[in-house]
Amino acid sequence: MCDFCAKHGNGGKWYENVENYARKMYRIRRAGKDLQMGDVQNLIESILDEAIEARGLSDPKNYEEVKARVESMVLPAHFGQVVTLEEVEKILDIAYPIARITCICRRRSRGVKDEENFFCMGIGVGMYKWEKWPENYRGGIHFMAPNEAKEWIREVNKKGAVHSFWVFGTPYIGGICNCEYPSCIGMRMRLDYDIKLFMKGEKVAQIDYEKCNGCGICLKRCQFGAITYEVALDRVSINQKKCFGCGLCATQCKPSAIIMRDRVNIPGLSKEW
Amino acid sequence: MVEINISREKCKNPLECAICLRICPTAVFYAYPYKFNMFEETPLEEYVLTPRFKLLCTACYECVKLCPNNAIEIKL
Repeated sequence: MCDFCAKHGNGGKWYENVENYARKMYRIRRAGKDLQMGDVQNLIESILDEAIEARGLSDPKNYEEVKARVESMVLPAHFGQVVTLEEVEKILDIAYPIARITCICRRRSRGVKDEENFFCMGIGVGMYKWEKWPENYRGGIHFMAPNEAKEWIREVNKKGAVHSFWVFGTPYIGGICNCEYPSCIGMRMRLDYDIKLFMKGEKVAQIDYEKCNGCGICLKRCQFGAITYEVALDRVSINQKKCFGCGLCATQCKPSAIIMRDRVNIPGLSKEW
Repeated sequence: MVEINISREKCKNPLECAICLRICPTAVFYAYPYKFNMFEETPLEEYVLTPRFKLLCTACYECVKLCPNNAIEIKL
């Protein structure tokens, strides 16, 4: 996102900056000052519950207050941003080691068994000590070579999972999630409760009306309800306001009619994250 | 708003069973470790089922019908 790229990007996109994958290696921990990830997770869970409650009471003023509190807490600690397949591949070239771990959201919201639940990708040195957190270590860990990881990520992309990278203490990037609605809690909070735990990506999809043949494959792949089929035109149309820039529609578009444009170059969208 | 009550006595192991978690059309349910300790693996029996996203409940009664322990109650 613009201010994150300005602050942590070192002149480029912030997730392409090598420093953001290494910070933990050099960070000196101060006793009592650093929150442990488990504590943060717990805090976020409870504050999300509060937001859900506030929404239920339909008191808009209170809800805005809670929402602001959640966002101020989440931004320095733990949030995700959507990335396209190409961007994930770039990240996999930078970060090491790469490991597949079980997805916490899918376990808790859909009861997916650990053996079938290796959808999350942990990246960076944190993975070497992942077993220190047994609750999250459930099911174990599979380390992967970068090429193997890319092959796997292409496979889940084909199946239709939205990729996003997550920070663990901003700007340290420590994981790539492969999610879908509604089992992903981050996506859910964003889409159902409008809480920015899950940010839009740097790209936005745009349709090339000349090339689109109206096959509608992209319709099935959009998790955000941004694509509709226009019957009279026999074309699809993409609502860029709803688009999160995951690029799932573009990767399976046979006539390559979907272009992923940079969000910052579209004035009406450059501040929507 | 729909009110969903889950009996903890009847619902012993939500992750093992996971029927309601899987069939809910709007994925209302959520199972979490009741006493979360990051340095210990919580046994599955200590996971607790809650209707976390109850705002989205449509009261279709699928979970009430399918729960093998009759642990779920919906009030309109």
